[in-house]
Amino acid sequence: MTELYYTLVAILAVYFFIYVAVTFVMVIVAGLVTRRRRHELLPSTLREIMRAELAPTISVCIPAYNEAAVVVDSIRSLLSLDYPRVEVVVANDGSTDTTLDVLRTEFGLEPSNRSPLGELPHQPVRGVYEPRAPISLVVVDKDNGGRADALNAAITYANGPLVLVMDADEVVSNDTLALAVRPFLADPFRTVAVGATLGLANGCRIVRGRIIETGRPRQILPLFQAVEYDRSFRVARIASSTVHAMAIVSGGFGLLRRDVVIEAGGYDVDSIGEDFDLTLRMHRFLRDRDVPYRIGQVPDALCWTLVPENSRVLHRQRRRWHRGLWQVLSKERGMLFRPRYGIIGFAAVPWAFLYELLNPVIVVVATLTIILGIVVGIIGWQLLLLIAFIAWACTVVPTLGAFLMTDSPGGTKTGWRNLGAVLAAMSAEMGYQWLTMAYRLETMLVPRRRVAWGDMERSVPPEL
Amino acid sequence: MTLAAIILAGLILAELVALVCRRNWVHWKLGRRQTLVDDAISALADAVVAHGDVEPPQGRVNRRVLRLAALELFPVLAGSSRERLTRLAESTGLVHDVIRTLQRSPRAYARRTAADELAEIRSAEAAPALAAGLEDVDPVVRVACVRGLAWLGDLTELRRMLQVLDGDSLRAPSEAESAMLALARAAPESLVELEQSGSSRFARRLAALALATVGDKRAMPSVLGELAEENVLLSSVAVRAIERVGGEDAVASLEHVLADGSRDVSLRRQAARALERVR
Repeated sequence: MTELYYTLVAILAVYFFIYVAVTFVMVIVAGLVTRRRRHELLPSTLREIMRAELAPTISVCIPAYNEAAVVVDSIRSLLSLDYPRVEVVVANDGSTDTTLDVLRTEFGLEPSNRSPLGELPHQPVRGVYEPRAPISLVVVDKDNGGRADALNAAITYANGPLVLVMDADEVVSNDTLALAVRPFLADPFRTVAVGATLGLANGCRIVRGRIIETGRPRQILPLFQAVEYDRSFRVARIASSTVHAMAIVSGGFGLLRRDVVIEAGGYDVDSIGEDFDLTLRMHRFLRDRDVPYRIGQVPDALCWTLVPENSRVLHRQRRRWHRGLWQVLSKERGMLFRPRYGIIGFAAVPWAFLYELLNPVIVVVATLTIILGIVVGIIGWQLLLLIAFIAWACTVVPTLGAFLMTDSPGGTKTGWRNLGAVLAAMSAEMGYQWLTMAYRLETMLVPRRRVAWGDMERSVPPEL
Repeated sequence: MTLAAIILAGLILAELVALVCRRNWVHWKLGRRQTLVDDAISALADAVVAHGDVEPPQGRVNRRVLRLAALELFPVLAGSSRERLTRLAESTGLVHDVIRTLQRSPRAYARRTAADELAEIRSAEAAPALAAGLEDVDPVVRVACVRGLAWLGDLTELRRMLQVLDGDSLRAPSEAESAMLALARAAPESLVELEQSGSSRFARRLAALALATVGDKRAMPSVLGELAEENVLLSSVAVRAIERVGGEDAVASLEHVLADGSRDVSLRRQAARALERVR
């Protein structure tokens, strides 16, 4: 029995050691890459891109479901970004509020005869509208089908060779498009998709779809999520992009080559984790055809998104994410350890499976193992404290390292709230991580419970 | 395990101290220094408008502040106002400072920025330093120097500039593109040579697009090659380049795209719009 116990401890130790070692390496790689990128971007480079005469058109595709409060400001803000050619394609996903009426009134929309460019699955389109004035806007009015469905519709009506997928309530910085398009200009032959860094809009002052002042959130749950987003976008995505193992381009901001998206079949309308699903499918599609390609991350390109401010919405969001992860990994399990899929099949997908999907279960097993050790007298209180401290420090060191080595969106101006973020990073392991772990575990234990998108509740209404 | 715990505790402490230091640095940069820069911008703008002078700044911080202020003003000025600002940059010793950074700094980023700033300032005093920068060990510095010389219109090192563009464009694509655009206007023959016999596909492509942007018909064969690409990103840029070149060949190639039912619908739509403008 004791032998079995020690074997279990050894397996768990290897599991967590790999996690800690890889996390440390990722922080160092992300820090070096951020430093190198910061030093590569010359002051005049962005100005050059912003006035390039042959810059490719970017079609910003926005799914809108009951977004009457924010959609007009979002569109105006997108159309005035510092990039020479922007087209906005809004897919009104069967909104039950006045989204379409507001758009019609504000932009003077008229029926258009624009035809779809390809065939992607989506609900029937009721009508396509364009403004009378020369404004680069297309509104696709369609039956309700969900986010993926609406994005498919928007992509088929987009004109640009590059499509940017994002949500109607998100805000991007003025230079985001110029920064995000750089990999496509630098390597137009291979680059097929790039993601940007998502920052939290909860702590920012946004007026008419524009960021006026950036800052860390004041509420406790968003503050924890800010730390989580920093680790994900400032460390994990940059590191995985560096070794060509980027398994997900966030649906919050993804700049994609339209022809590749359409050829890969677009978004899966039945998928809950549609962005993860599409990214893996693009990997599979291009590797199956031996096409050289790049999917990367642009750390300096910033997009601001709202995150849940209460535990009810957070619960719903995390259930959806975890179910999506499960669904996509089950669907793409054929990529596991297949040489054809290279680092995606040998590292990215197994990592997602072991350290994201199964992590809650393994943490529970580890906790039970420690309790059992205490009960049978193998683990004393001193050893318990030591294990607890090492476990805590192993997550805090890379998180603080991430703060230190990478640029944190919105955190630089507000010293006190930055201190709050540091404290949140140091205390996240004691409560927040367990909370999200419980949500994820529940998703696995009660898989049949329905998951829904729901609305993101705003504590502060948008300033008009 | 105890040793591991001590090491981790030490690391956390060190990181916290570093975070506090960084916060203070950012506070200075975005707070007090920005106020000084704003004041310097006002002083420079007044001097440009009133044809006045600015006292050469004393001390490292003040020189840095003036440099940042001038570099914020340059992109928004044109014509004689810009020339006056260039004269002010020379008389205050700013150009000399930036040249010294380009020549002496051991940090590649500082040299890259210096080359970029000299390109922006466009002072003839910087030409020898920029020419020397073509031999820098860092490829981005070399391309930035090519751009600086091209913007200055100094083509004495043209051969070496083309070599740099051919070899290093991939490392600094936006800078190379801008340098080639300047060369397409100042020395189109040399760019045609690069476009036809360059060793890098990327540099050849950029050269062709730069020539097309200024309406040079010699870019057409390369641009037509790009138009045939299935990659819609390349073919879409090619349609725009063809539109810039114009002429009978452009009309014929755009009509061909329009008639080809196998091509991407948006590309054909773009070709139709381009055709209207070319005709």
